[in-house]
Amino acid sequence: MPEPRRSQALLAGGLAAAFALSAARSPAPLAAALALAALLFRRGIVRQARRVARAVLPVSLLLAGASAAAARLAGGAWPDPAPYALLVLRAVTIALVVFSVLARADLQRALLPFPTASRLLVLTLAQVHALRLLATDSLLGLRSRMPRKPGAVDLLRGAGGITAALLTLSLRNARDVADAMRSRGF
Amino acid sequence: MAPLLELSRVSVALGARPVLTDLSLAVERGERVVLLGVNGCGKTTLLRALDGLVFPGGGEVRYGGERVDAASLEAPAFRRRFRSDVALLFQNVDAMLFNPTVADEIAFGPRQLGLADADARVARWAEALDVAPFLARPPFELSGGEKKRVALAAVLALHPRVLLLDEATANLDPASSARLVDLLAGIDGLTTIASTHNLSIASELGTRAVLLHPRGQGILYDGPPEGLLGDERLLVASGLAHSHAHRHGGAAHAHYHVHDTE
Repeated sequence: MPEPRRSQALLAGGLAAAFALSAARSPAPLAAALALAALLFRRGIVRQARRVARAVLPVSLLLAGASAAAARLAGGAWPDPAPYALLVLRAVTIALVVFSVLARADLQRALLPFPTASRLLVLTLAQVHALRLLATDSLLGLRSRMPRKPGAVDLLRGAGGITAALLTLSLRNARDVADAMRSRGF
Repeated sequence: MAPLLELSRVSVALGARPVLTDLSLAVERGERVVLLGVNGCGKTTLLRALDGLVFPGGGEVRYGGERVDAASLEAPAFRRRFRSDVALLFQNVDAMLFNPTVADEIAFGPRQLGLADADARVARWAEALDVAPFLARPPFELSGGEKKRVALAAVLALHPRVLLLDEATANLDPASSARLVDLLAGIDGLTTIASTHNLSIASELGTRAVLLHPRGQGILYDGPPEGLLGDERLLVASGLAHSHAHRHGGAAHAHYHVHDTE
């Protein structure tokens, strides 16, 4: 299938799959979806699984654990772990499908026929790019002023300032972009 | 005939902070003005006021004798004429790059104005600014200097009569700065107002220098750049130069000294 149709179809399929998976209420369809995803996206599936394990699994486990602990505090007994396990499995499955689709689809080409969506995507990517650069620079700045490699506590301490800087930069950037668009007749 | 651009007793405040106070300036057709001043003196705000992006709390801005304010820019005919005639190169060029490709970026302004020759303008200005090899790339992936050239191509593609340049040579290497100066000098009839705090390039960017008060409280100098560059007292008073001690061989003495911060 030629572009941008191919990427558009992939994105639409991925979106529909994510919606369908979010409604799954038992492990069987999720396991089946995982197996299907592994088959359909077998090229690069290990890399995507690693990304899920790094970026999604720890957060899901943490949230599930916190929810269970809150239920234990409120109810006096540990709740049934099955719903929490299902939540984690669902998040992991959706993330694997979405990451695999995004790795194959060319977002910019898919959105080219839609100028406003395309521009929004570019602005988002540019913001992410700028914020990543700032976060990296901030980390290097922290490292350069410390006699040792910053640990988790140092990073957490610095996170407040960095987050404030990121938010301020985002806000200023958003205002500048709006002015730049107006200036050129938008 | 009315000046092309005119500020009459303009005062602008950003929030509660006054940035420009009671400032007047008239720019004639074809003039090359270089706007000088220390960081925070209001150069950017002045350029934004001239581009109709910031509206003064007091005084008025006029273009070709017509008032530029929120109401006049609501009128489609005036807005279209003003937006095609007056272009601003932002200091933060990242803000100007919001299209999927460099080609789309350069074509953005002409397309907004409904110009039929947008593609021809893209080819012309991409060639002139040496960004033709990047036409298919997303602008935000480019280096700082490349982004600046793309942003400049994007505003020049509007074929403006007035070009406002906010620290245009910042982040450019000396060769690129020189090329930019040559390029602008080669565009006939173009009126430019270029802000900088780099004194070494001031006389190349304009034939008329306007020095802003360090806190935006009026204009300290308006005349040929050579006159300003030769006025040590004024340069020191404006904060563009300062006196400090140097050691030459064994002898220490103090004299005024210009620091380019670009």
